[in-house]
Amino acid sequence: MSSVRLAGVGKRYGETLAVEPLDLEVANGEFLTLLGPSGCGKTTTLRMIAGFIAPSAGRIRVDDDDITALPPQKRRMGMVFQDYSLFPHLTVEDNIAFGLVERGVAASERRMRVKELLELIRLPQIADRYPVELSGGQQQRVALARAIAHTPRVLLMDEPFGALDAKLREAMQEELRTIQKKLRITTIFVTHDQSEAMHLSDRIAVMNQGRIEQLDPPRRLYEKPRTRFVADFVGKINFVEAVVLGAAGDTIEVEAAGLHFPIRAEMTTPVGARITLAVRPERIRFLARDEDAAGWVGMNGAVERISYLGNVMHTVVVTAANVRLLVESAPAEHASGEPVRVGFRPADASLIADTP
Amino acid sequence: MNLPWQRFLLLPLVLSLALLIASQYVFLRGSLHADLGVGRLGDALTLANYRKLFTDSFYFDSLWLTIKLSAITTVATLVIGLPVAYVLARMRSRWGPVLLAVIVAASFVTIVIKVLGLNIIFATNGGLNRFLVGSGLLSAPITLIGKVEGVAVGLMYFTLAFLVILLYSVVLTIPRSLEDAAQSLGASRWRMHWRVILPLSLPGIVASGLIAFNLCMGAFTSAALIGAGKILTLPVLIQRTVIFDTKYGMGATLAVVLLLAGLAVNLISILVVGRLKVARGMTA
Amino acid sequence: MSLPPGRPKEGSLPLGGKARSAKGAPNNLFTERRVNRALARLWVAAFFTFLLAPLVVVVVVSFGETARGGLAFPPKSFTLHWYTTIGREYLTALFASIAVAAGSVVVCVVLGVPAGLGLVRTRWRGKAALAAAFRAPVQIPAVVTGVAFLQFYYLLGDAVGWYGAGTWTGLLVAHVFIGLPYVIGSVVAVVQRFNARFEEAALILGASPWSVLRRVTLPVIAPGVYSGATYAFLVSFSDLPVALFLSSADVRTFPVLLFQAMDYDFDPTLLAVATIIIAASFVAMLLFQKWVGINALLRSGQ
Repeated sequence: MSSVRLAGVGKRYGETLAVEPLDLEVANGEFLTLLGPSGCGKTTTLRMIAGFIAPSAGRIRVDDDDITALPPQKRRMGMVFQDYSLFPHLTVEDNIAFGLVERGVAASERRMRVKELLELIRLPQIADRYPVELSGGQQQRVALARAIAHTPRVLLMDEPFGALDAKLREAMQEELRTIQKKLRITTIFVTHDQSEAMHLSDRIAVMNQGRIEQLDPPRRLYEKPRTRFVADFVGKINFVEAVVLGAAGDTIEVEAAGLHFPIRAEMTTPVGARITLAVRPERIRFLARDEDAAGWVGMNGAVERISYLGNVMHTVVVTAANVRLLVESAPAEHASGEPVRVGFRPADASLIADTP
Repeated sequence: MNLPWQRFLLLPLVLSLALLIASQYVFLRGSLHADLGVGRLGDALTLANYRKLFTDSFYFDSLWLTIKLSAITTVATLVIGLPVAYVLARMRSRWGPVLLAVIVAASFVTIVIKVLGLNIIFATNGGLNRFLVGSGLLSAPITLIGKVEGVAVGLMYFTLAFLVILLYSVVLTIPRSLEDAAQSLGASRWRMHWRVILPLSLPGIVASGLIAFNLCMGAFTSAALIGAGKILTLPVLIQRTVIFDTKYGMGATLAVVLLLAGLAVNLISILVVGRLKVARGMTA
Repeated sequence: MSLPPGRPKEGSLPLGGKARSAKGAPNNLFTERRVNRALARLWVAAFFTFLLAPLVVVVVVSFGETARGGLAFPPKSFTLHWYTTIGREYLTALFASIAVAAGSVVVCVVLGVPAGLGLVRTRWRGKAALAAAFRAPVQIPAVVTGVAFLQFYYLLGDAVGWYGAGTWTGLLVAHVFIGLPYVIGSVVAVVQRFNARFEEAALILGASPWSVLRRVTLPVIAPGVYSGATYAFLVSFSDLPVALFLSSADVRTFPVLLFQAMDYDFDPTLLAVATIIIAASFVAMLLFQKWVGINALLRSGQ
């Protein structure tokens, strides 16, 4: 099990910059996800690590070996593709043993290893079947078994669960986590599904337009998004525009949504600067009329729209200052047009550096 | 991919290009020389052969006959084949592919054997003719040999199976849901065919038809066997000119003209199909 | 029969439009459909009768006794006589045809598979022209090919001393010429549908490029190769025009023999051989369907 290090790795296609030179370190045994929308460069980055695309700049290291110039077949990695790419003309057993055959492993040993893997993915009976006879979930697991059969140093996964339905996807995610933790294999996972990333990863690198915007564990990513894009892409968020009125130590006084209040700021912001506050919908609470809870910033407004989602309710509230807020709460009896009072704690808000 | 794909191409490319160019060049060149009789060619380059082709009615009639026959046969085959292709393509039972397989198998059999069968069927004192004449339906037996109609029938056999297979693929490209949509909007089946199926398959029909036309133009065997020396289509004439008259120059000229006619047809087809597709707003 | 819109008659088509139906028949969707279906079936039946009649006749007559040595349909009585007296010369020609076809298929595959792979995988700007060049022989009428090769071989003979006309080799080369486009076309079709990810998957599993070709690419494109090869075989086996120009007294394929026999002196045992060929074609079709499926045939040879 190995660490992966990208130093200044970038990819340019003619005029277009698909991936801006980036630095990335994946620790031994870590599960790191590259998360972002289509076209953000996550798959390109993965394929550079795999060796299918040659980087325009930078070096890629696995442990201490510089593998930048190595072709894919010499990199000792495992890869699971989006459409599984199981060889249609080979049985499940031959598919899984493919890499072992390339390494000259003896037939008896191969058979044992395949058996071992089939037990790991909990499909011991299907060795003689052909991929076309298997369900999507089964194919997926066989693809995983094939990728790890030859004990690769790194496991690469390119949106492997994209083709599965929601329930199956959840089950597969669980299974992947279990297997990964058991084998402690360094894994680099690519997906556009942020809840999947949150569920599986030790750390997430959120990518946008060829750049890594933030690299953090799921919790920090969610609670303290650093850019507008990250805040908006991971989970739902409310953006409130604010102006800095004054600064004192690590606290600044801002005017936002027609109210003044102090908020802690980690970076220096000049007076008069325009910044953005980002508040998660579940951090906004309904207050009683005229309620002024200590430490809470309260605003009056009216309900614009309600969505009932079963376990929670989403209410869009338009405040007196004409700010639209999405509030997530337990289901309650609100009617469209009803006047309400909402509030949040400044401590629950993140300061977003880039303001449009 | 790291495989040197270019290298794969090189040998086959060189060989087939060599064959293609060499063979075509030789006889193209031959067409530009005069025949000196007994298989010898004159030394000077001349267009005399071409002039003769277009002025001598013997040769020109052959060209014209070939074009006419091919056109008629193509239209007839299209009319006969399109409904069959449609029915087979839309068949939901497992018989659809089976019937198609029968057609494909039939197309595997060489045309010589098919003509053999035709000869037997239409033999003057064969069962069919005896029945037709004996029962008074016809005054004289149907014969195919030596008649233009006979050659047309032969050409039809040559192209029918292939054309149905082509049209089958064309129909398959039209989703069934379009038919359901049309019917839900009030169109009867005939109207649906006329307003939906036909327009959508028109480019494919035209393309297939032109392929069939090309095939007919170049068809030698059925024309030779059924024509029995009386119906001289261009391919037959070419064979006679080369083998019997040993006029290699003229034979080459005729072949060049046949080739050019085919090329012209291909070009027209590309233009027409392109125009049709654009007109219907499909991806050009 | 037109109806004012908005007042649909019971059982007729939905609102709007004029309801067209067979004259006199009740305005009923199902009757119309039944009539149409019957017509369609009739047409298809007529078509198959037309298509298969000559073949059926050949088969039947081959088992028939003829009056006074002529050919008669329907035959007066049945016999296997023609099968037992097939002339040696016809069998030789038949086997010769098979041999030439098989030989040309081998060469076509050896040349065509790499060509097809290369055509799809390389990034040359002249690729379209190349593809057209490979397809060209199909566009040329067989007669023309025959004449061209005849003259080409004469020229070659004058230049190099080897006269290809009237030799088996010369015929084989000409058949490779006309069969190659089918193999290449078929391989190109199947490679284009080929998921490049298979090769990537094999690579990342440690296979060298040659191993990838051998263990993954070739096996997966095999159906396309088979269907192209079948076409090439048929093209060679059933070819008459080219063989006619390039044959001689010793070098005759079966179609040539049959052709000449029909012109001059017809021997009923030829019917027996023809029947064998017809049967073989249908068997080939069955085998093909089992291995590869009809869809492969539809997609190849285009």
